[in-house]
Formats: sequence, structure tokens, C-alpha cells
Amino acid sequence: MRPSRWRARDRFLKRLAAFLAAIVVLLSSCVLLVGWGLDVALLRSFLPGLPGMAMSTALGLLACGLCLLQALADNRAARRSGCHFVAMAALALALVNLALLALEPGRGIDQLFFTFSDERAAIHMAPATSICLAIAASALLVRRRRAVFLNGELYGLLTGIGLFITLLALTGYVFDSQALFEILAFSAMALHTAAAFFLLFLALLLSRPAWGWMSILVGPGPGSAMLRRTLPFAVLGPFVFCWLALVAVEGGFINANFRLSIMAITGAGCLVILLLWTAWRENADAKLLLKSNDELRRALSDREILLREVYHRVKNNLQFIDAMLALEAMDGDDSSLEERLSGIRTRVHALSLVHQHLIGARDLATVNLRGFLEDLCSYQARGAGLDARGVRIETAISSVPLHLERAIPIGLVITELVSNAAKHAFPDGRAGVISIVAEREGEDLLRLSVSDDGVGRSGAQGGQNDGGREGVGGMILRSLASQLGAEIQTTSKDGFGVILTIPLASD
Amino acid sequence: MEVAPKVLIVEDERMIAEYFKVLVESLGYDVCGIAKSADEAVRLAREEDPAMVFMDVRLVGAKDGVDAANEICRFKSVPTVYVTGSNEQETIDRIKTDHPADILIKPVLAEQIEDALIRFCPRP
Repeated sequence: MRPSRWRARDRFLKRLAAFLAAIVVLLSSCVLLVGWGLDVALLRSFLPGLPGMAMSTALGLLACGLCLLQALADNRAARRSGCHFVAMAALALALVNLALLALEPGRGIDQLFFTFSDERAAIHMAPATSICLAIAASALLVRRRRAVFLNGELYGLLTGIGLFITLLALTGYVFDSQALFEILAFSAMALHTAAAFFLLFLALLLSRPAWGWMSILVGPGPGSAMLRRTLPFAVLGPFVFCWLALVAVEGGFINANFRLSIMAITGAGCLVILLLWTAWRENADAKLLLKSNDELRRALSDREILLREVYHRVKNNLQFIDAMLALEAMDGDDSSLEERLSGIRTRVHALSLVHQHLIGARDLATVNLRGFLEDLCSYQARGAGLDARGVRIETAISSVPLHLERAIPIGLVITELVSNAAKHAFPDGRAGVISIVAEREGEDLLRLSVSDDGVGRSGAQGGQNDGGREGVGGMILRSLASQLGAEIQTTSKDGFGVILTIPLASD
Repeated sequence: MEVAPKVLIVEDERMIAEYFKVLVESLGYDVCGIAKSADEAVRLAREEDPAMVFMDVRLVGAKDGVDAANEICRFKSVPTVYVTGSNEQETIDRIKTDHPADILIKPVLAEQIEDALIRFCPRP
């Protein structure tokens, strides 16, 4: 699901939650003001003969509904306005009532404050109602922010239990209210109390669509889509079935015990069918996953083979170019041409070397700076016959993974700088050291320095005006540095050195 | 007069082979042939009796340089220096089954060729 659709869905669910919370507020305030205030029995008890909604229950519902409404309107403002104190008061109300009922059944918090001589005297907050109120108030407190571990799951659990209790009460009313009242906890829980708490829990759930099990229900996955399609049947199916069974028994079509047999077997059958279906889906999914994994692996290995082949060809072509240049250089007696061609060959070698390292690289795109530069330097030392001249190359290179986009220009930069040093720093049989240091500076900078202890730039014979040779090298160096986005500094203490600071952000 | 040792070059890229030939000859050796395929390499080795072989791995045809070297090995003991563009482990492992004199990875420098000649096929 795209983020915009996700946001739209969230907005819709929150609006729905606000709507439900508003109904709860309206209902409870009606009971409070009209039912109790103006003494309209219909609003208190909904139907004559049924238990009524206690004043404390209506107050608790009103508090919870208002809290949720304000949180939905503006969570931050709700936090500031101390809405949670109201929720805490509702929680305290529920707990005190539970305690009072435990001490003396039938006498709750209402009986403590009000004394009526008529049927209103018996109306109290039922234990199940108190539990519902406590759960709703706790959920509102948890809802404020996702601060503690498992907050979303705790929220889902609380609202889930609330839904379970209220649905049990509502179903009890439909099937046999007398049977419901025989359970102590539910005795005297009014029909509209159960309905109002049901709506409140629903609103609480919908107001946090990303939390707890609600996230599975409204999520974007195919499993969630399947859940949404089948949930109405899963909820309504057993209900309708049991109701039909009840009607059948009451109509005298089947015996009450036989009804139990039917329901047991049908329930088991449905569960087995559900499990079979899930297993089948799981198997099909696993098969599909295996197949697509296989295809992916094959495509990946095809790509690897293809890329290796391309690198091979590039390397072969470079060797080909090298051979042509070598033949050209051997052909004449022009030593300046030979020198220029040899310069080009050194650069071609550097390019070949990058590809040689790429072929060996695991991901075919990254080379290790240390291995690559050490190889490059040993090639250059041999190519320029440095050993015989008493010139050593010393390297101190960190192991840095380098994408080929960077490895190529860095390789060419080193080639250029080492060639220059080999050529100009040690004239007249002078021995010395060319040292190459490459290390990371922080996370995203590479410091690369090539320095020598030779005669320095001023002492170099030829220098800048060496028949334009230095000019080409310098130009190549500058363009490579700008390609790398590098800064160049030169030092001339005890010889000559160049330091490049290269950003590595893209690696 | 001293006779220049014979060197066989097995390489399917003609230009590269040509460069090796010029290079090897400039160092005072005699290139007795250039083979493009394994079969050709075996034939030339039998006919020319070289003192050393530079062997590429990828060759024209189904058989590669290691096959050719193994076949030559059956009738003649000759130092074989592999010059290959494939530096993957599989290729290196395959070459090593043949007990090569040395393995040079392309790009190769003239100096490396010279070193190999001096080590494995010194001139009398």
C-alpha cells in the first residue's frame, strides 16, 4: 500500500473512531441528564424489567468517550490538558466499585452516595461493567504514547478483552438474558451499557490502527486482505449458527443435548477446514517462494557470469591495446616516442589491474583498496625497474572497500604520481623511497598521499617543461581529482609529496 | 655458435601472441610456433620440441590450456608458464592441478616474461 493510501486509511479509521466515541458520549450523557436527571426510566433501563445503567457507569462512559474524542482531535493538546487525570479517575471509580461489590454484592458506589426509595435504589454498576470501565480507562492511559515495551500489544490485549466481555454480554442478551444474569459478574449489566462499552472498545481499537492485532487486520499484506474478507463470516457465522440451533430447540425440532452434539462437531469441522485451508495456503506460498527464490538465484548467477565475461573481455582488450603499443614502441628508434608510449602503457596497466581485481571480487563491483594499490605499486616498481635503481616503494594502505567508479580514477592518480616520482625525484642514480599512504579520515573521507625523499620539484631535471610531458600528466591528474571531487595539496619538505583528500560518501 | 632455446607460445589472441613473440625473440630466444588451440599446441610441442611453453587458459575450441599442458606432459616434460586473464579461484585451482612452473596474470609486463625465461629456460 502506498504511503498516501496508508494515510488516507488512517484518517478514515480515526474519523470512524471519533464517530463511535461521539455516540458513546451522546448515549451516556443522555442517560445521565435525561434518564437520571429528569427521571426517565426508559433511558435508564432501555426496556422495562431489564437492569438499568447506573449513574456511575454513565459518568465513567462519558469520561472515557470525551477523553478519546479529545485525543483524536489533538493528541498533544489532550496530553497537555491533563485528560489522563480524567481517565485515572474513571479507573479509580471502577476499582472502588469492584471493591465495594466484593464487600457486599449489590451495593456499589452509587449506593454509597444516593438513596432512592423506588426501583432506582438497586441500580448499581455491575462487576463486568466495572471491569470494562477499568480496561477502557487503562487503554486510554496506554494510548497516550508508545512509551513502554509492548505498548501496542498491551493496547491490543486490553481492547480485545474489552470486546470479548461486551460481546459476551450482548450475545447473552440475544440468546437468553435470564441465563446471563445468573452469572454473578454480568448480573445487572444493562443492555445499553454493554452496547456503549462495545462501541467504546471498537473506537479505541480503530483510533490506533497500527497497534497490536489491529495492525494485522488493517495491514497491507495479502494475509490481512484475506482476514478482512473472512472476518465478518468468522464473527457472524458461529453467532447465526448458534441462534438457529437455539430456535430449533425452542421450536421442539431437536433435543437440547443433540444441539450440543451438532455444535461440537460443526465447530470441530469448521476449525479443521480452516486449518486445512491455512496449511494449503502455506504450502502454496512456500512453493511459490521457493520457485521465485530459485529464479532469482539463477538470474543472479547469470548476471555474475555475464559480468565476469565482460570484465574478461575488457581486460583482454586492454591487453590487446598494450600489445599494440608495445609493438609500436619496439618498432622505431625514437626514444621520446618510446617513453610516451610507455607512459600510456602504464595507465592501461592500471585500468587492467582494476578489472583483474573486479573479476576476483565477490560482488563484482568493489575492490579492496589495499590489495589493489599494493598490486599496482609492485607492477609499477617492476615496470620502471625501480629495484635496480635502488628506489623502494613503501605502502601503508588501509583496507577500504572501493567501488569501481572510484577505484579506476584512484588507480590512475597513483599511477600518475608514482610515475612522476620515479621519473623526476631520483636523478643520477640517486636512491630513495617513494611512500604511499592511504587511510580513512572519519567515515567518508580518504586521505591519499604519495611522497618521495628525492630532489624535490625544483631540483628535478626537466620539471614542468619536459617537452609537454609533465603537462599531460598534470592535466590527467587534475581531471581525475576533479572527477573524484578531491582536494589536492602539495608538500615540498624533504622531497616532494602530493596529498589528496577524497570524499567516499557514495561507497 | 649457441643455439637459441625454443619457446612455444599458446595464445588465441593473435595480437597478444605477436607481441609476446617479438618480446621473446628480442630477448634472444626462438619462438618455434604460436598455437591458437589446444590441439595445435600439442602438435607443435610434439613437432618442435620446445624448451618452454607460455600457455593461455582460454583457447579456441572446446579444450583449454590446462588440457593441452596435460596432454603435452604425457610425452614430454617441459616447464609451462601460464599467462592468463582469469584470476578467479576456480581457474587458478584448475591450473594448479597441472603443477605449473609459474602463473602470470594478465596484464603482464615485459619484465615478468623476461624473469620467467631466465628462471625456467636459461640460455646456455
